[in-house]
Amino acid sequence: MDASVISRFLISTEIPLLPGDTAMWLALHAGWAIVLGSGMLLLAGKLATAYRWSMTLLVVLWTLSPGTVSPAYWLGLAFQSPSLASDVICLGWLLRSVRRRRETAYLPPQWDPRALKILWATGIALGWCLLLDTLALFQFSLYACGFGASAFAVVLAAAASLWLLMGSAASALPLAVLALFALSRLPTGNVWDALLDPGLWLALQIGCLLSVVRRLWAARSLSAATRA
Amino acid sequence: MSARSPGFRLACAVVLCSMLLLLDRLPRAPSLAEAKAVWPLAVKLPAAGVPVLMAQGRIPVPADTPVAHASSLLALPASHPSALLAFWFAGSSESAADVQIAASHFDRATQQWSAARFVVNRHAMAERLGFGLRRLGNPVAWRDRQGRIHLFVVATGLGGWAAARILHLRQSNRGEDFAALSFDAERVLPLSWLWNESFLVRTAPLPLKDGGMVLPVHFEMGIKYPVGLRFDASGGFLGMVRISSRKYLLQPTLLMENESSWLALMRVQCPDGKVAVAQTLDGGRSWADLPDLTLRNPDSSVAGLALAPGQMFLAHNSLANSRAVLDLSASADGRNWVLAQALAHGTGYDEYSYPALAWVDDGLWVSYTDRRQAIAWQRFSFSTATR
Repeated sequence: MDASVISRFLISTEIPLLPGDTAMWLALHAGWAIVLGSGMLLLAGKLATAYRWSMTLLVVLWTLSPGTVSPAYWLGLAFQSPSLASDVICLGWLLRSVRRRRETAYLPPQWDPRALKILWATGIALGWCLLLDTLALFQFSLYACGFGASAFAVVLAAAASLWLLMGSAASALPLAVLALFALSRLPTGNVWDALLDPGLWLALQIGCLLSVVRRLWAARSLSAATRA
Repeated sequence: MSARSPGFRLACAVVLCSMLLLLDRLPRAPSLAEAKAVWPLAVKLPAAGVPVLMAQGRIPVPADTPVAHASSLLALPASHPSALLAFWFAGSSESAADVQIAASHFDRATQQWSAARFVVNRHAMAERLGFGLRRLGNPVAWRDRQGRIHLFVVATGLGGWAAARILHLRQSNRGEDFAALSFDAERVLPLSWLWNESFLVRTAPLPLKDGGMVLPVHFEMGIKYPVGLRFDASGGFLGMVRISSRKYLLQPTLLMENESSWLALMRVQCPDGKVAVAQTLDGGRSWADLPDLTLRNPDSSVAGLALAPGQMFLAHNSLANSRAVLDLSASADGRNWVLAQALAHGTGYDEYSYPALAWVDDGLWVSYTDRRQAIAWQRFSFSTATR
């Protein structure tokens, strides 16, 4: 690959494919309905099942309603649409909860911890790269590359490789997101917006921080117990 | 071959990836040709031509709007009953919740500006988009190949101007009737991963030979850097390229030197700033910073227009620390500028700022914010010679 090919890729002269306005309107409401619905289900975890699901359904319907009454109207003002990755993760969580409710004997498959760790670390690293790129700290524009077919191909190859190597449900998550993106171009036509939003990125970092704190706490307790 | 075997997974991955790549590649246009700018003038002005003031005044503002700011001029074709349209934002104060985008047109028959009317309301646009818009500002107008007007407007999210996004609007009515002029929200331009925030528009686009244009915008959360956005002949977004690597430049205005070589002149946000310059030699694909001009810039927007080879004009505030003086300068090369006309000279805290330029009916039109209360305009003529 000669320098001009790299240069063309980095300054992104490929024509973007953007989603239509109706699709964006629907994605905004449906995306936030999924995210808020799963959040409600999580928050109402200690309530009786009927209450938990009623409240979840209420939140979903409320978010899907048009106009200023919908939380999506105000969340969109501040945060635009959630990424497809956030939607897929939250939808997966919702569907898993539905299955657990229906089949009491059903044991959900354990997420592959190795794949999760890789996705977690990649998400955090990608978020930092995109943030630094937004602040123009790179010579090229990483975000602008996300509109091009080359970036999509590279990310697709990486996602397929992860799934080939791991073969677990968790490792197929990026492939599922990319498939949805190729079909819909949502939420913005930029592959980075489909893979990660700043909210998900913050959640990944908070999760990582909590995990470290928990481990340190456990190690401290263990050493205290050993000393005793 | 079992469903979990590596061979099966490889086959699945190859099939899936091939399908997704096709799905991504097929609807895309084959390639993006190099952008080539076009001159607005079919004739060349005399080399020593001095602009002569022909008319001036204030554009009528809508009732009960004490604040008017950031005008944009749109030249209309000779067959149109109006010579040009002016857009600006107006309301009870800058950033007030009641700010809307106002417009007026200059009628060729009466040689008068029409009464202004509001053409963009944030609530109507928010309803169309499905999410709220807190404030509107800085309209920039452009006419596509089909004659439809596009407006690019700053719309804030959660926060002030630094949390702004660029809203792309498209004319929704057909015909040339100003009274029916209305817009639909097309989309918020996807320009940043960070909730798409902190991109603003202010200055006029550079028209291209293919009917498209390059819209200069800037990022302004903490640091400031300029970006060029490319659009096709119908207003479709084609991509973005950073104009400068410096982190204190905003509101670029584009001047063509020839069809592929352009200059971006920029507002500077630093003490004792001089107008900053960047240059592209490949139609906006890549840019390089040049040494600053000798023109002072008191952290204030500039507006440039290249009419013909070697004939560039720049409206700019020329004092070091005040927007009380607005001048029009001329240049043959975009680097060396001489004063061509004084546009507005005030004192103390007077503000004459945010100029816009347009070439219509053999005249150079200038509009600017007049003490944040009104939009003033001036028209200059030149005697022309056939190129």
